[in-house]
Amino acid sequence: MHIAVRAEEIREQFLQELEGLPHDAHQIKLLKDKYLGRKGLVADLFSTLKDVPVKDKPNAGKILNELRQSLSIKFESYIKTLDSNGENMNHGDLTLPEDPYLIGGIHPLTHTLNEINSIFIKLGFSTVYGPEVDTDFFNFEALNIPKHHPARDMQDTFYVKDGVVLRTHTSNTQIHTMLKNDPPIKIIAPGRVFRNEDISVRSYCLFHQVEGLYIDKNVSFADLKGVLSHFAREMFGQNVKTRFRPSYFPFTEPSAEMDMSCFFCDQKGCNICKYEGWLEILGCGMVDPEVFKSVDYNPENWSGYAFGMGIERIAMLKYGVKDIRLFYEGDTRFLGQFV
Amino acid sequence: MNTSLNWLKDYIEITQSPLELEKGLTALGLECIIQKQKYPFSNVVIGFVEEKKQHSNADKLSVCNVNIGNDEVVQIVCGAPNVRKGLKVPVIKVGGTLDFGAFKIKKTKLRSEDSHGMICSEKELGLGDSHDGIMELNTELPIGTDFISYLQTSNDVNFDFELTPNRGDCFSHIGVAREIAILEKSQISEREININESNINTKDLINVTIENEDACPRYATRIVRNVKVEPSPDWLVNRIQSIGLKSINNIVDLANYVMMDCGHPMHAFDLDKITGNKIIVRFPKQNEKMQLLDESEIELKEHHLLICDQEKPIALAGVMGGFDSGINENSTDILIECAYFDPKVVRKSAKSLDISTDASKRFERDTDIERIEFAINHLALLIEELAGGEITKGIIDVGIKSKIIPPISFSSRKCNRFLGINLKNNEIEEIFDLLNISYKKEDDIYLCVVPSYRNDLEREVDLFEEVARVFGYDNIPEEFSFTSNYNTFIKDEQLSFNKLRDISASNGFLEHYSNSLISEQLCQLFSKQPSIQLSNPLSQEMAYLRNSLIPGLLNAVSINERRQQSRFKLLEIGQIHKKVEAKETTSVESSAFGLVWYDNANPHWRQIPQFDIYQAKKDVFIILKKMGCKNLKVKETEALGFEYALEIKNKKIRIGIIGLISKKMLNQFNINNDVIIFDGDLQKLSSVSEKNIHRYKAISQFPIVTRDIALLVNLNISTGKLTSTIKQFGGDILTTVKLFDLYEGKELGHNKKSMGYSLKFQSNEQTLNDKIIDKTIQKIISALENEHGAIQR
Repeated sequence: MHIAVRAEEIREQFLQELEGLPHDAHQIKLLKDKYLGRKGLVADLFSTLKDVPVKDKPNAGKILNELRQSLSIKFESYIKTLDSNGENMNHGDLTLPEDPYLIGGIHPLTHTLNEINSIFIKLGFSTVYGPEVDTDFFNFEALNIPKHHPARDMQDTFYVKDGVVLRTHTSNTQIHTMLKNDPPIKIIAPGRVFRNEDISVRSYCLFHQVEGLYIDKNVSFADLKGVLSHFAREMFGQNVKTRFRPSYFPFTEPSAEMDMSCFFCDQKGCNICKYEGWLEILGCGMVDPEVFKSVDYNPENWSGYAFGMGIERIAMLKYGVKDIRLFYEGDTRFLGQFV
Repeated sequence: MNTSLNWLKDYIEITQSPLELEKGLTALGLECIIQKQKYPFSNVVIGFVEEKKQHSNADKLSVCNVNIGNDEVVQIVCGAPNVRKGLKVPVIKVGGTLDFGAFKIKKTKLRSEDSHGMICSEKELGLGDSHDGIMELNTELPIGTDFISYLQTSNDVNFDFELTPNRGDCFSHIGVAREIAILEKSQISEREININESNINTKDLINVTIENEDACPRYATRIVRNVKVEPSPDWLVNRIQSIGLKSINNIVDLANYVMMDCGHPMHAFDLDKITGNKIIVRFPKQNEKMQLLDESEIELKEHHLLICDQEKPIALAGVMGGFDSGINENSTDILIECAYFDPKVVRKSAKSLDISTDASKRFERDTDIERIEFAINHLALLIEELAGGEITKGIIDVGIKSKIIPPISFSSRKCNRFLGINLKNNEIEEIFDLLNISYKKEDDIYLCVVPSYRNDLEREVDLFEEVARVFGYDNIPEEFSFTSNYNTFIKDEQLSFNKLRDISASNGFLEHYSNSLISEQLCQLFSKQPSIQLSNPLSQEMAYLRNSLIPGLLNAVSINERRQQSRFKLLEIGQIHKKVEAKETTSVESSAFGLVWYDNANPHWRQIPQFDIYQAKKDVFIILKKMGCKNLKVKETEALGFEYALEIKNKKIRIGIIGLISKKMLNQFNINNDVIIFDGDLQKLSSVSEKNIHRYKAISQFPIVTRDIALLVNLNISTGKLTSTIKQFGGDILTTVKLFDLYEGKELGHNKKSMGYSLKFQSNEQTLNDKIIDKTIQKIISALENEHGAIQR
């Protein structure tokens, strides 16, 4: 039982010394080394274990482990009381600045796009992508915008050569998708689009769109209204009201513009909604049978809706950005606000 | 398009207020706004002159007691000769302003009589030129009413329409009136035209031939002789000016008036200038030229449809008249043209010459072929009334008189299902009636015939839209269900982009979007890939599609440096384009990602080093490993525009390069400090990441043994090579290779460096004993010596 006695002695001695220990990092280290160090008293005692008779070994081992554990716990909790008392441990001024760091973040347009995407993805829409440079067929003809049609004036187009354009909308992705897949279709197509417009506070030579397309059996205009109103509420708040106005897009019939009640002024009238109480958010409509014909779907069997919205417009509304050019400049003081 | 409310009232009795009309028409799909007039005055009310007496000190002044509302009676001194008791007049109150705030009305004394405000003339209020006297208001409005409300009720109201391309029929007052009729649930009343013709036959004066009836299905003319071209009378000037046009002379004004009234463009020729008494509608002969009304000389292309006399073109059909054939003050005999042209033909002409006229806009959107006779008679009649002369007998009317409009079959059951509504047959019929759609009912199907002015209605679905808009989009309920099972839809194409964005953002990178359109010069700085040129760029600065993300990133660096931002990291993910002639679009598009490190910050108290290639490499390794690259290798490489660069490969696939941009390139962007850039290929990265399927690897139970080795090596031996030799000969048990010391000094000898490596060994099967370790170390040392001439120190 020699080990047990010795263990108790060490414990007593340790506790006494711990009590009288000055608040000095060096002294504390010495104490720790003396008892718990690699060549400390506890380690010494462990080394005597080999002389203990085999039958007593398990018990002796247990006693020593308990000793080491209890000393460690006492020591740690003592250190903790020092810390919580806020006593100076000679560790220097901790309020000196930390190492320099940078906070990264995704672009406000990515934020907005992701928000829009996730609302539709939750409803089971898949994201698909189409090319930025495309033929006249995919960007116009197949969407029921024939050559020499006034609807072409709605979008100022960049040309690469005759019959090849920078896409003016992500609607080209509709056609690519429908030509490759049979209905039903349920997609959103985000991407960059180009317009040959002078650069100003309100317009840029490119912007980003999310286009949606749902084709199935018996899809109705009421479904279109339902899903887009749901989107507006998810995106801008449950109190948001929507209104649909007749409009014209060659690839939808009927076509509509969706307006949303102005969430800045609660329709009381403000600068943002130009005192009209409504904000124009997106264009939409039921897929025109001509579009179905160009992708070889039978309009007698299928119907569907399509919608498209500009990411920049929504981001500008949401974040109160007044100058669209800020999005493409890369000023880190701007980008750093959206981390 | 600008319309006048007073003009619309010619066609329909309007009970709704301008505000209600604005809302109602917008809800019908005719987006419009009331033109808001800005008046140059403030604080003007309707006053009532209760008493007037002569000023005791001045012959020309009167002293008036004027009631300005709320029983407030003020004394005003007035100099106008027409001021008298019992008049209602506009009064500007003390504190009001004129001339957009430039002139403020104060309480004043005129020859010792107090004057509280001013009774105003038209000119003083900025409403007209009449300064003859004060305005006399003939109105029922109560005393004290804001003068602006008086102006709005008594004056015209203008609506500005932003018409969609499908509604050419609304490009006129009659068209808008028809839509108002829907709101008012009534019908428009057509104008009545009764013409007195002379005995002279029109066909004896002119002969019309259409050479291409597809391009010009109908051409009608009338002739009015012995007219007098002179300024228009007041009513016509008012009408023309009320919609923002300029009055020219009676004939031109009337042609415009009829066009704005019924939507059909009209043209008036001087009959004397038409050679050979012939009108020929044809395409140009070779090398034919003509001078347009605006004096521009154009070379005619084969698709330009022309109106010609026997010798020469006299008008570009549907777009603009010719310079020689127009009306002037001396014209006496007038030939009126009213034709129906193919919208595509007119659009092609106008587009190719970059001209857009009131006529071409209407023809492009299609006109009403059946309105021609009415329009030409209306104009002839008005010319006779205003300019005198006589209308010759008969219209020369060549071509078809109407289009064949096949009936559209319409199923109300299908309509209800398509729109998600439940209209009864009588409700649908009521909508048809409002739209002037005639119908026959056969069983469950309506056979509908649309009026000739609605060229946009051809299919059943077009009628669904009509039903929807008359019923009101807002009255359609909201529903929301998806029929098919999710599994039948296609799945997402890409998932990794957002992961890359998030990882980079967590590592301090700010995401940037740069312009895809850059200059030719920038396309050549960092890539030898041929780039795609636009045929109609905004400017030479934006004439090409980017073939690399680097120029865009450097532009952002330049902007930030100029704006004194000293330390940042940027990320961009975007599409780049390579020109490949063999492709139909000439473009091979790929996704790229770029990273930027820029650090010009002041020293930190802990001596943290500025960003350099090693820190940048660390970031790239973290990002790529998190994206699934398990086996990254770097090698020095040459790269266009870089001072030096490393290529980064994963399993032999080159993911990208990283390096320092050369000074010469930085100068191109006016950047002063070092910039490190990583230029990566996202497709290649995705191909690596997709295969990244995890399987758990057992953790070794055996201890790690650490051994340090110190080497003396020639300076030119790269660490990368040494490390890979160590790894190769260390075998499976070598788990970690760490360079912990690197030293160059004279005492080592010429061109030598000392390198300290710490190697960790561990086995999955056994505790490694000294014998195994020593043997392995020996193998490594001798390989280093043989391959790289390294000596153990």
